[in-house]
Amino acid sequence: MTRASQQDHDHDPKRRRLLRRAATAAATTAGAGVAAAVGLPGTAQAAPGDNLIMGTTNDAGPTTTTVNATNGNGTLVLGNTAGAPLRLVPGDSLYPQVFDSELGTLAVDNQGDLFVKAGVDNVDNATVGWAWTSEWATTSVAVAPTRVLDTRDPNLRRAIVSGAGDLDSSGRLVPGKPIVLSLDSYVRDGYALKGNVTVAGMTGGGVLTVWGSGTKPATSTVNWWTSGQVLSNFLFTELGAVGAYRSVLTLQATASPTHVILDMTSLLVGHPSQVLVSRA
Amino acid sequence: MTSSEPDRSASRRTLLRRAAVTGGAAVAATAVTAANATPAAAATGDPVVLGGTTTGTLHTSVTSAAEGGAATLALQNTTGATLQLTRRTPTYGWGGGLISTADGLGVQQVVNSAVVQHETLTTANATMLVPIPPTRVLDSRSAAGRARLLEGANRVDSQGRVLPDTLLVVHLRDIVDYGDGLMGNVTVANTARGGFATVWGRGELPTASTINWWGAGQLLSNGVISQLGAYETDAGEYYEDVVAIWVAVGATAVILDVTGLLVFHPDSAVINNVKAVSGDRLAADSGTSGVRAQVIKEAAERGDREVRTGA
Repeated sequence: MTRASQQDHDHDPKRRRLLRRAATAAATTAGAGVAAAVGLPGTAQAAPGDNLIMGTTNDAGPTTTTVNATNGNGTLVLGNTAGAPLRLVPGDSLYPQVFDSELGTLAVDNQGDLFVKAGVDNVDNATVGWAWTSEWATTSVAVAPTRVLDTRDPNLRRAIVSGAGDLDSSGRLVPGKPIVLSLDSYVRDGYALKGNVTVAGMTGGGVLTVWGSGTKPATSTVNWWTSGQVLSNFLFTELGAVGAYRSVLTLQATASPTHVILDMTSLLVGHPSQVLVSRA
Repeated sequence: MTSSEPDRSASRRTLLRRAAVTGGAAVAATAVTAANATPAAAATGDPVVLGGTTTGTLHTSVTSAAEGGAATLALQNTTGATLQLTRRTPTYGWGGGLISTADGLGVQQVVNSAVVQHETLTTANATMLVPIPPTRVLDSRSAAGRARLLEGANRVDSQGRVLPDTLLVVHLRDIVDYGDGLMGNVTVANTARGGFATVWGRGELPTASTINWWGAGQLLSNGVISQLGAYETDAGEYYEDVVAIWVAVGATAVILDVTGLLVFHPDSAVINNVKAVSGDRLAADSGTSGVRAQVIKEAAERGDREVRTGA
């Protein structure tokens, strides 16, 4: 039994996000705890009009402290030999009042997102947005065109982790018998794939459906109407997770056996470092 | 933008003179609104005045060796924003510089002794691709497959083929809220003769084709990427996310499957969302996610989003 046959479909969307969050938390918990304590040392309290005292808590009350410079390399230069130079303490009640803030306002909210107020020197034309982070943003990474499946060639069937035994004697997909490909050697917890899928060697009209994992969707990726055709189509599909495999594709033919060739040209990930192969 | 290498000695010269930095120390300051700032000016070399305005001719440096990852400077505000960077196009740049720009936030770094500034992508200036489970939004061959049609349902023959010179408008409600585009697969089946179809999402019918065929009885597919637009029916019902398909010549059955969405924030992809962070759909959320969702929706509505079908 292959690992893929465990079919737990655990799955991936929410689990991946939890895993990523857990990893982030594990990497930062120690520092965050100390930072919180150090951020509010409580050794001295200052009032508006007092001097800002280093290494203490300075409370300006309902006023803004403004630092201007007419020259120099940045108005405020922060350095830290051991940690972060700047911390914007996440606010619990930022919204909606922060939407009325001045251009250039930055704040970290209680979901860990960086709020950015921007615009062209006119608050009336201002925009508000949140900086992309790898927590929730995606990015497409182009890779060198890579043939990840060619059922005509036994050497190019090696990515099949489930269903290889259901191929016919010449290696074609059999209608109603799905195969699962693992792309774990190309990407770590990938979100989706772009590429080109080709069908050949069919015996009659049919349909190929490509999807991530789980129940086969009622959709099609390539369609053909008779035998002997060679047809290609662009492919964009999410990646799924099956058992220990974290980035899989599932392919199934309907109505006719067919050879399938899958060429990968791009991967959709949260951060380019998840791509494990050379980029285009 | 480029400039010369930052002068590190300048940073050292302008260290705050009146207080030594101690291990484990950090500075926390609290601020509220700029409108309340006290106009107490100070000159270079003077202390920074809390709640006042301090203006110098050189920058102010604060350094620390705060342990455990603690920050050198921590800013906190219980009722509003913590930091404002004055909007002004800088003459120079420095490694690590954060610049307020018209589009959002610029980040500067030193590359080969020159400072390069890059724009941060935000939900206000960029869209991202979010995969969704393959979802069939149109199949003209069945009544169920035509359920999302706002226009064109009466232009389908008894074999489920869309008649030539027909415009279809398909809504994507419950799939996406205020999306910018889609990716997927369009299929033609049971074609009557050669022809083509065009998929688009915003504005007038473009001079373009998405899928072409050359004879009767064909079954062909093509990948599609299209903008999403908005549409108001004759009955006055407004749909914020639609895609249009024009079957130009040759009757054919039309099938549209969606596999990905281009959105300003993943919360806009509401169908079994891989990347959602709010845990709820954009239109119905509350709290922090809710106000954020409202802003994203308003931004998506800017400009001309309407798909026009009168051409």
